[in-house]
Amino acid sequence: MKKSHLHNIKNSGFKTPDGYFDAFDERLLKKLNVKKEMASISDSGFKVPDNYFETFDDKLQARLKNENSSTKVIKLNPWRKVAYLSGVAASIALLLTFLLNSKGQLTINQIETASIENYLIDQNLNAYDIASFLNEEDLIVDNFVSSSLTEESLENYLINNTSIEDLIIGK
Amino acid sequence: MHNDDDLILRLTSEQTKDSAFKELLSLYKERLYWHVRKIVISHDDADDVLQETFIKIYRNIHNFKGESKLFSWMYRIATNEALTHLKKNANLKNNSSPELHEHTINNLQADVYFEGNEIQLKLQKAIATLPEKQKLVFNMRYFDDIKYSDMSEILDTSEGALKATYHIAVKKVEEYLTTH
Repeated sequence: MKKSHLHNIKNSGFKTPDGYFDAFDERLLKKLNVKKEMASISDSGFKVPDNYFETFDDKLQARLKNENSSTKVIKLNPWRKVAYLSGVAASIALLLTFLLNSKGQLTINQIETASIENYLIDQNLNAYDIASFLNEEDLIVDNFVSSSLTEESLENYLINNTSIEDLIIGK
Repeated sequence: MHNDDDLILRLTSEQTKDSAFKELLSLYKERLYWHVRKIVISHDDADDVLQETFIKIYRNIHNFKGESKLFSWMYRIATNEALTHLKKNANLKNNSSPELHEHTINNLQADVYFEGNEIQLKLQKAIATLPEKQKLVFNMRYFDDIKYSDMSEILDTSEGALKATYHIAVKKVEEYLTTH
């Protein structure tokens, strides 16, 4: 029965855009032409002024000599850079401390998790930056191995600290 | 085949440095010039970049550790210099890099140091539409026939990824040439 049904289907159902076969030759020829044209190109077409390469060596040697004799490169000491950066960092830290203190008793717990998250995203911190905030004491293997969580505390944590959206996104 | 190790040895010794550097120049300046020229397009920019490249090579040759071929190391310096030059130019003119590049390409016809025919000009315009990495890979493979293994050292990208990039670039260039 199935077989006889198959015999009745004479058309695959596929269609081509209007005029596909009429335009096919032209498109193919155009493409072949492009390939032929590309194959005929042996260089980029750029040129150099006459004797450019012949005079380049002398020009460069003169520049090297000139730079070696007249300008001594003063290297910025690396510590100076660090000092500048730490100066900037310290002023920002100071400013933040004043700002935070002036509002009174704002603590890290009062800041919404979302704000902290946004801050971290905005600051473009990478894994190394974050790692630099960790104390080495935090990274002792025992801390990871020996701390065991009871199911109850895990449940409490999840109830208090997550929303249904987090769980869905977390999936 | 030229012996890199010997040349490097002479380049790193104070007594032989200058004569070895001359040899290095005669061996590589033209290849590096054409590589740079295809990135920055104008001759004057290519000249600036080539000088900066060789000055960097001269100053830093003692840092060359032989982890890659000397030629790949120099190509990498030249590529970085050329890309930095493009960005610097764009910043000076308060323009974005691709915009400026398009402008340069459109002026190519008037450039006295461009003698390409119509199809070569069209090809340059097609290449100009490619993203930076595709442009580099296309130029290096299509015009300079640089091996994928060498290109991998120069651009710090896997050979597989480079082959894929080249394939995409060729498709885009063909597409541009067919429709323009």
